[in-house]
Amino acid sequence: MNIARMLVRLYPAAFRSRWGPALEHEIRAGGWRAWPNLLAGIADMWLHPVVWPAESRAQRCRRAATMAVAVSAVCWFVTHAVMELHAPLSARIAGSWPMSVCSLLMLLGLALVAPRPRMTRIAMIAVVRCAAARFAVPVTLGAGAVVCVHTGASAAAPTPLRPALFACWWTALALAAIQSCRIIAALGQAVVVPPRPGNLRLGLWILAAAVTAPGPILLRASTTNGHLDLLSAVSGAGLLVLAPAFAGTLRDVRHLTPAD
Amino acid sequence: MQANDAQTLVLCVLAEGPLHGYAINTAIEELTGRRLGPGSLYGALTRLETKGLIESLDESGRQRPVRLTPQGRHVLERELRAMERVAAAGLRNLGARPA
Repeated sequence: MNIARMLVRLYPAAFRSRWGPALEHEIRAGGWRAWPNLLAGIADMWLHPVVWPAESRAQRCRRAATMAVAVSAVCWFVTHAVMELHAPLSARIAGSWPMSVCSLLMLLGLALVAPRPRMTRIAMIAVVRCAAARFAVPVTLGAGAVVCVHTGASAAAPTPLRPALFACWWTALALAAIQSCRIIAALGQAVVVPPRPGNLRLGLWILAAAVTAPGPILLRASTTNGHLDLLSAVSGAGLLVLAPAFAGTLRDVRHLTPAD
Repeated sequence: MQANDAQTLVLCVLAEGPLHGYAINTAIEELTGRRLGPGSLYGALTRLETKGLIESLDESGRQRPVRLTPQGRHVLERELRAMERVAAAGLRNLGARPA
């Protein structure tokens, strides 16, 4: 496989199927000098799934929903990992009201942006089947870790196995988050109803607030004892970087034409 | 939009008729003296299509020509008129004659 084709393969599939051969031709003509611009273009496309070539407005709305769920999942995962892996910080902010409000806002936002299954037997079966297939591995891993902890098997386990159990739990959470996005992306229009544009925009605004707020909270908590806690500070700054992803998606959703 | 914006440049060269990606970039090079990078060109084409300002025609070989939609023509004219007013005012303030 030549380099031009390899670079084109870094684009999303919908984009490749529309512009792939022409883009490949352009990359070959431009040579290596075109690569920085191309890589920026690839990153730009992955951050704006709403603008990828689509068959309908509903497909674009589903992509916006998938993007919102993905960014929210990353935020939730990072926030909880930092709080649980770093005990003193966790004790200070884990049960605080700002974090509880952020969690509630995130749930509300997800409820608004998530596509709803169609109220037909066939659609329900398809959704349940897809969810069962995608969640089988993370649920098994997570349940295994929980059972080990509650039965005391983890305490009795040899020391090298304990980190493996811990890794198992966090891998299960990460896989569950990834699979949630894949389920939304995989379910077609025959099975789910995409969110209404108004709900989608409201949900995106709420999720943007819920995802951005933990950043300053973590940053503030990282410096309260007079010294800087690097893990919390880096995580807090990382969460602030996620906010523009919502801004871009909101802008893209605004440009959707009614006839799309 | 701005005069050097990739989307404006693509709309400008498509005003003459349908073109495929490589031909669009060649026309932009003739207009501005430099080609757009492939990421900028196809990013602009994708966004213009999402906004309904251009539409794809049937594939011819490995290339897919695109053309302006009536809405694209309208938006381009509106943007160029706005740019024309700004350019005229700027040149007047500078005391320079329009080219």
